[in-house]
Amino acid sequence: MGNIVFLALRLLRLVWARIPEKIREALLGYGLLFPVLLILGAFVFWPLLEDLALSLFHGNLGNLFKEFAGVANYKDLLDDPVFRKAITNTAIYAAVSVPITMMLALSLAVLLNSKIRLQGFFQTSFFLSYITPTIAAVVVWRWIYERDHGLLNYYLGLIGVHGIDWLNSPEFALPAVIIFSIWKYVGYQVVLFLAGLQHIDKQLYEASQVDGASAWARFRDITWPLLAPTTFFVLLVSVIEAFKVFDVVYALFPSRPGGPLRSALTAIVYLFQTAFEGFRLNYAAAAAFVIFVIIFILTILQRRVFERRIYYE
Amino acid sequence: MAQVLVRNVSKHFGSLGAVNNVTLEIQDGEFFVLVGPSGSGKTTLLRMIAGLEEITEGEILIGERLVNDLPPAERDVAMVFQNYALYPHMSAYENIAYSLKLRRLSKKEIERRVQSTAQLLGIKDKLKKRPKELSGGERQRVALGRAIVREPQVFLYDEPLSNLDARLRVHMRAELQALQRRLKTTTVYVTHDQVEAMTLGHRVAVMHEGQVQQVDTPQNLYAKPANTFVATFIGSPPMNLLPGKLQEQEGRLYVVGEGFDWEIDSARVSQLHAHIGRSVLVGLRPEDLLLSDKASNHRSSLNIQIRVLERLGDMVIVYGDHGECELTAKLSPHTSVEVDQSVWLEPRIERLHFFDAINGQALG
Ligand SMILES: Nc1ncnc2c1ncn2[C@@H]1O[C@H](COP(=O)(O)OP(=O)(O)OP(=O)(O)O)[C@@H](O)[C@H]1O
Ligand SMILES: [Mg+2]
Repeated sequence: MGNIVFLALRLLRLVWARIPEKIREALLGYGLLFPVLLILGAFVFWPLLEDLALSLFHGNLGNLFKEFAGVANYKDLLDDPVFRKAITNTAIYAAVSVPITMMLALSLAVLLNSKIRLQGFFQTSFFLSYITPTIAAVVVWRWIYERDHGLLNYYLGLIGVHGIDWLNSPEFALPAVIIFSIWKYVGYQVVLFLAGLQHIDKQLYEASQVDGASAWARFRDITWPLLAPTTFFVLLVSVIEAFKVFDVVYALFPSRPGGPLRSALTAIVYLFQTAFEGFRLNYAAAAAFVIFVIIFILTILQRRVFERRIYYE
Repeated sequence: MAQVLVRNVSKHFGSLGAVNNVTLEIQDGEFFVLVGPSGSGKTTLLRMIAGLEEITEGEILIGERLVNDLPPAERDVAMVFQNYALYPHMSAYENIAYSLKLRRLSKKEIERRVQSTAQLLGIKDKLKKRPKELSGGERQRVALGRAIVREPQVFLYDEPLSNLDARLRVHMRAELQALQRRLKTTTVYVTHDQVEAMTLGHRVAVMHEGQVQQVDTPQNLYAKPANTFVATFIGSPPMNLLPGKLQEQEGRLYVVGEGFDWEIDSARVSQLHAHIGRSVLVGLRPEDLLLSDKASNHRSSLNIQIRVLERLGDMVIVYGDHGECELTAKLSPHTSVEVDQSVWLEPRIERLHFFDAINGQALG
């Protein structure tokens, strides 16, 4: 037995040695990639294809592929006011929360980076909000948002704003979600920005100081361009995250997911309700695919717009 | 252009005194070198002049203006950093132009000044490149250009040549010298390389443990070191130091030590008379030791067994031990000596240096 294995290995080695160098290298490369491709295939590409297939059929829980429907599900989706509302809400949520969070995080990171003292303490404190489970944090935030005794309204009262019913009025439900998620993600982004800032050679700041640069000029000419790879990464990730927002909405409005009059209904919440409360799986699959395409296009667009302007070391 | 005055300046990092009570008077247009071993406080002093480091005590004046509390931008000094600190995302042109842009000069004026600086440094065809695409020497020139283009009152250099290979270093040394002669800008130049210090400096300050040991012209530092630190730091190989005692006998002055008694030449007697009976260190430059034959009076020569021998082409350096002391001698290249050979070395008496054995200060 051992002999056979030994012989087989020798044979393999002989054959291997006869394959031209170039092909051998390619074989080796793909060979090493294979496990990763396998995992990606099983957990990313295959489900995606399955989702696409599902979306092209009409069916029910007993038979998901009952009858071929072509693009009928997609047509219905475009005419579905609830779906359009969900997409609009999500877009507003992303367009407002991402820039605000990023600006806030960048400012905090720059401040923290200049004052080394207690940096670790602040870094940890900010990060806490990110690692606290949303469900746990929301318990506190539901109290902060409370109309009559809430902390937020107490402070707003000090500047003369009274009686906002954050969680029960259609105008303020989405803002409440946005404020909460800014709080939640700002610390995470601070940590990312700090890592990027610490990568910038301190001597460049000294050189520019000697060159006559003001604090603002140093930020504009040194920090901003050299931090661009980090900023771009944070932007990409947070836009994607924003389009996937789910748990915040679900936890803030537990009795009526999507908030009052669906004013805070987001794409994934819609998806979840359609699939697992309405059990319209084929329809939900189409919605999922549309959301995927939107995220995909946004990502490509961001790369197109920003990537060329970024200086990578 | 301006004078730079450093008055009783100290810098403490916590309890560590990096610079201690330094006073320097750097003249308008002078090429002034700060030299010293690693950790002696050269960079710290330079950074205080630049405004990048707070001054713990004392005053710094640039062109008669007290600058202690002025930020770097308002001191009108330009600095070249050891590793250049070029802006990696800007082209060579943008690097050089940056300070002018901040001063809101017109595009045309910036173009004119950058081009003429690039011309001066021979990097006109490199202006479009990023620092990463430049060789070490070219980067060094861009860093120089960034300083020159501003026409500042003072240039500050922190070991600008230490990242270059030996050949390029010698070349850039000559160029820096020519540049300074042309621009006549007051320059403070930090290095730990004594050859750079000696070749570039009009005057050189030798630093050790945060203190200035001596400020003088290169020739005087070499000929009249103020203490044993300067004596052994300047010159390569370093000066030999032998313990001895000054003694008078029959109206003549001798220095007596293990295996030698040398009569001090009459010209020096009056200088050293006050120190009779004192323990001293006798300083002997390696080139002031000559090979002698045994036949002569052996108390005038030092016997060593050669331990190491270096043939450098234009000279032979021999190392050996005399009692407790290591002795180094620079001999003519035609000398036929071998390792393990025992030789006699005779000093040029008139070139002896004398230092107090306790505090190391030069005597006389
Ligand atoms: N920011 C700092 N914090 C604490 N100690 C410092 C700081 N900068 C310098 N020192 C200390 O001050 C002393 C002088 O340092 P400095 O950099 O001026 O030396 P140097 O003469 O330039 O040496 P080298 O030739 O190695 O560059 C050293 O002991 C150094 O460890
Ligand atoms: Mg230094």
